Amino acid sequence: MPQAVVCVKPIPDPKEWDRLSLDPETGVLKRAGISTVINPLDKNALEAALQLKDRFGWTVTVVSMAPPDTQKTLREALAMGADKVLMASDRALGGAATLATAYTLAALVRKAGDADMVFCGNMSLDGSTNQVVPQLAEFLGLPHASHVVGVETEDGSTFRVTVDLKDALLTLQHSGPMVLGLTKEANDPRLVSVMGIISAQSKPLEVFSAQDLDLDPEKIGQKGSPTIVSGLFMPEIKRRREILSGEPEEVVDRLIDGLREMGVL
Amino acid sequence: MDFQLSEQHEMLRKAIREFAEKEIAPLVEKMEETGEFPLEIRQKMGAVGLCGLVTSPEYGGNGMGFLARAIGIEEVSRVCAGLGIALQVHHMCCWPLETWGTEEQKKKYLPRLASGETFGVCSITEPSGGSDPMGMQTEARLEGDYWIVNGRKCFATNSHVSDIMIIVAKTGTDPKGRPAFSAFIVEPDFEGFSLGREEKKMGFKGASSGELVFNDCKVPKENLLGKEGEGLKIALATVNRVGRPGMASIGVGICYASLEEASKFAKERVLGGKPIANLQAIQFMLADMFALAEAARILNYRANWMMDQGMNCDTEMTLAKYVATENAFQCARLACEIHGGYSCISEYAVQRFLRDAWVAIPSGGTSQIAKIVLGRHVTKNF
Repeated sequence: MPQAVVCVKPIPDPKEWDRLSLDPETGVLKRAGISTVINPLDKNALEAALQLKDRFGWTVTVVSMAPPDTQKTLREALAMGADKVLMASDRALGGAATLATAYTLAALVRKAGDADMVFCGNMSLDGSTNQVVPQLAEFLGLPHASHVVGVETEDGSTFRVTVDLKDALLTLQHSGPMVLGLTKEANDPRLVSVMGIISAQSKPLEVFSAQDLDLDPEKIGQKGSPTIVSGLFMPEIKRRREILSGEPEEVVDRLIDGLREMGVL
Repeated sequence: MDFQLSEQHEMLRKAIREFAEKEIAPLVEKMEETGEFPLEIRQKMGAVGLCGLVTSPEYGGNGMGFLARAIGIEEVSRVCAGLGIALQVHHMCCWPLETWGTEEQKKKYLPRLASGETFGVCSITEPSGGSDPMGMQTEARLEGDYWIVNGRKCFATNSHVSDIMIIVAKTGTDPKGRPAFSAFIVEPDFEGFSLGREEKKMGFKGASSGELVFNDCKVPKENLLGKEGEGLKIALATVNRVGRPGMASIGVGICYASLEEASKFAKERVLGGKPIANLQAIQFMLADMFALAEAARILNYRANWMMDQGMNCDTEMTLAKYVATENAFQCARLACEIHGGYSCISEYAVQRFLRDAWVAIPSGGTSQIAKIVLGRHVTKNF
């Protein structure tokens, strides 16, 4: 059976984002006590894969790099209909920026076996970099498309992929494996059913260490991340008030000059 | 002692919450305005698995059990208590069918109920009252291959949106000369059956409640549920073990809906330059609501957990129902107080919670009936 591999990231529940904070020392997000959910766009990716399962009998494998306590969240992907989860979970993977993440995900995709299609969310809501999809494709040596708003196929082998270019829509026709980054416009992810929850308990969820995946220690985690958070600041938003007085003509001139100086005009 | 919900139950709550917010919330306004039941929701509730929670997989359900049912009804009722009661009474039809039904009856009716193709009814109450089942007037007599039923049931939830009904009728006397009752499965196209008036209610709007009329209604002999004379046992067990925890779950749902709305409003509403949530007077009310909601939920989960373990839990079910529905009304009232004048405006959901909570109290037995049961338990055991 053809296989779709779906990259899924557990992220802090957006409903609890008002409780999130950044560690000013390390620049790392403090997630303790915040529950995780599947990154919403990853559900679109999973839905696209599950449609291939429904229509053409594909196998759907979810891969994820995440801390071990997010297994419960990943099991939701099984409850939605995925067949198995392969998870990379290791302290050595902590602090990974996008490049190290993509490198690790690529190892998981290879571990899953022949992938006939790789679906990802276009970006994660907590990172919003849009970088992992192209990086993953490069590691796998596959073509890719980001900002995908539609995936159609008649036969399960040739795909028409619609990409949002902001000012235009681009439709690509493609056969063979590729990496797609889906947006929320791509489909309407299915809801989890009680039957799905029950069946999820007996589906495999395998956890791998960096060693299990033969990952190069120099390319993973913080070590393998060329981008670092060099500093953090809260943008200061201040209201400035200045009362101009004088003759109307003169005041208007000064107002216009002032606005020009500030770059408003 | 373990108060931790299983991973499956937690996942269920999340899934049903998402379902309720996506599929049910958009229906509420129209249900409130028209009082009409949205028929299309039945199959959606079936597809997500809500209809088959207490039905075994061999009959098309998922059999996740009573604690799962409590969570499911709670989450539905948090968004719409009207659909909460429709679902809970639906289960009151499924459970006795599986518990006392013949193999043929189970195969014929349960898959349709579990899939949400239709909703079920379980009706005992008559114009003479619901809490005095011995005073039931509806009668059935056996004539050839049919039971001929005459009488009238009232306040039957799902009455006008169901194709499968369980009713109880007097079928003779027992050896001690007391009236004996039997339960029957009725379909709306049976000769002599008709629907009576559909009630306009102050709460649970959009849930169908009305009369079932039997005028020489011909019920096939094979539609007797359980044995002849077991009707009262079936009815009371269904009310105690399914109906009361169902109402308790609705109460818990209303408690948390009230709490969430009140907290949100208190944080947004600014008076004297500060959100009213900063005021102790408001915090005290929110604290009371929290205590009421948590107490109701814990009692309800314990009772339903006991049911799943096969333990005798009639008293615990009654206690949960009494506390949860009364607490729901208290929570909704406090939520209305926090909303002040806004609680009188229909755009604010808290007025709906108050109306729904009021209707939840007498449904499945008034608080006074519950207290009679609990009082007897106390004098016997303490």
